[in-house]
Amino acid sequence: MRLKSFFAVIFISLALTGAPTNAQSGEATPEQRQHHLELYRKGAKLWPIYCNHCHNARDPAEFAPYQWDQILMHMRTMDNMPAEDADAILEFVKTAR
Amino acid sequence: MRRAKHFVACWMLAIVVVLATSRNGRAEESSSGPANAGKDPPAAKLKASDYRALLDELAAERKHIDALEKKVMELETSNLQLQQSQTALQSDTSQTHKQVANIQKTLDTQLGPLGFGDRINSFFGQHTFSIVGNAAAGFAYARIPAKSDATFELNINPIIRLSDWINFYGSVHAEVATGGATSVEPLLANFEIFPFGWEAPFELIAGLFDEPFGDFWETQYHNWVNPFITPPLPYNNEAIGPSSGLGLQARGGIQFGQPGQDADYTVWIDSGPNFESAPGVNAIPAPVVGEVFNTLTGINLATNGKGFGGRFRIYPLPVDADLGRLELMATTYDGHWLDSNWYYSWGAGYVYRVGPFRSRGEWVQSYRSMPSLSGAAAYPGCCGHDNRQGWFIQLGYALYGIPHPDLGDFLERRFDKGELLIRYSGMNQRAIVANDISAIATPDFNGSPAVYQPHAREVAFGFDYWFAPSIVWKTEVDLELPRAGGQLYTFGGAAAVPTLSSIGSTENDVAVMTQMVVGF
Repeated sequence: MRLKSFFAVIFISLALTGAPTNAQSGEATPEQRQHHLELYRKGAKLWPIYCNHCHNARDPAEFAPYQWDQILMHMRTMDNMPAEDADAILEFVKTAR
Repeated sequence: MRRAKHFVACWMLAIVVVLATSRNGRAEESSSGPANAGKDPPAAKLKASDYRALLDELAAERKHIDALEKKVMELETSNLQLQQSQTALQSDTSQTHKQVANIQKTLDTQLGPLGFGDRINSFFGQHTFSIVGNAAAGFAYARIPAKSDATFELNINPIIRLSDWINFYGSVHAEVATGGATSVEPLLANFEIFPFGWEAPFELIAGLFDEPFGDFWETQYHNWVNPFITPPLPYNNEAIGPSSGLGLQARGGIQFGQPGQDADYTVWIDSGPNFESAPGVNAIPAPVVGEVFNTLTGINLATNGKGFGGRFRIYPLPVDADLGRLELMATTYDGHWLDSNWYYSWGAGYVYRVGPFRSRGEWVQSYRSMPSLSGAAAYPGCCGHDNRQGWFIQLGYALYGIPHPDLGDFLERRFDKGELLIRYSGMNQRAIVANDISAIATPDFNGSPAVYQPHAREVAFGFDYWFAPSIVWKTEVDLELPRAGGQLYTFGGAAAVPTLSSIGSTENDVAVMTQMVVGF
């Protein structure tokens, strides 16, 4: 009886650890979706303020998402902006386009 | 007794059977007897032929049915083969899905919780490539030289994102102006590196970069960014420091309070300041007080120069306060020029923008020790020290901030795109070099010689019409109001040393520029 319980516990554990998560299957979890939404909102607030500090904020539609990856990398370096703020602005310009 | 009875019954039954059989035979003989012979109707003969025809037809139908059955058999066989093929394909597809799932599972789970594949990609790179830049075409007129010039400028900025932690940024500059002032040169070529990852507030810039002294060289240089056509005097032709350097920067920023409350640092070492008299540049034959910096890229390794600098900025206002964004900045850049001669510079500035209003200003100062020469080696302007001070303050107001309820839709949309600007800037230095003075306008120089005066002062008025955030038509009127005083060094002909003269009173000037700029 103990042996059966032992194997049952092992089997359930393996099943649970081996089960694909939403992240592994490519779907965002509700927590991830909420995180993206919060980043987007923060980015929408920071985008005009941070960008306009040196130049007019460019329209998110002007560049493709991969270009925004490049441009934000350059702009973060020029502005020395904190990573979390750069992440938020990047999320906004890539999503808003 | 009983046996006798049974025997009699059997015999009687046999007799009855024989009689019945004989009666049936006679009846049949009477129905087909000679009375009916030769009386068969013709219809009976036709039925027989029809019967044979039907038999033939039936045989033909049988053959046809056999042929059809054969075809059905063939189709069934073919269908069976198709079903077998489909089954085999389904089996293969299923196996393929299983293999893909296994590979995905391996990638996702067995190669590490941090996403090994993504980490490999981020290390070896995606190599995405983009081109950004700007182009400008303009026209300038200055009263003292009484001439006008057309100008054109093109900046191409390639960006290559090699990976998540390294990015290349370059700039190639081409310029055309009246009178042969044409140049094509690389202005920037550097790698932006995040050695400890994206999240860490530590980045490196390695290569040829804009000097992070103050804010202008780095952030205001591009003509779709600078709301004026010209730079302020401390960053104009008689600049307070070099515009670029070859070296290494370390920089980063942190948030110390609420979002928007940031502080950042930039420290760097580079090839140091060098001037137009430097070996290899040789715009003038000998170092002299008042000479301008190396006019190409600012890079000249032959001078054995070295430079090191720092810049610190703080942004005290949180975003949620809706008070705009304020930057307070302090900066320094020091080093050696031409072997062991010292150069020091420092400055402070601010940037503020809220709604339609924006403003920035800086005060900067530099000190340069000149070579120590004596006796016959000494020449005018060779020795002592070379000081410069410069400042500027500029204000801009976008017209959309002015209430205009009665303009109507057509005019309102156009009115909102306008921006009014004013800037006051000045420079003080002991002397200038006559050979530097130019009256040829370039895309960022109005062509007025008054800009070069030792005590130059300039009031610039501007009006910008923003078609889009990076497309602007700029118009600028510069009042050049230089003050009297200062000295003038002149290298005449092939002379190796300059002559000295006093400048005395100076003449005011007016210059007008207009320029169409497209940032892309």
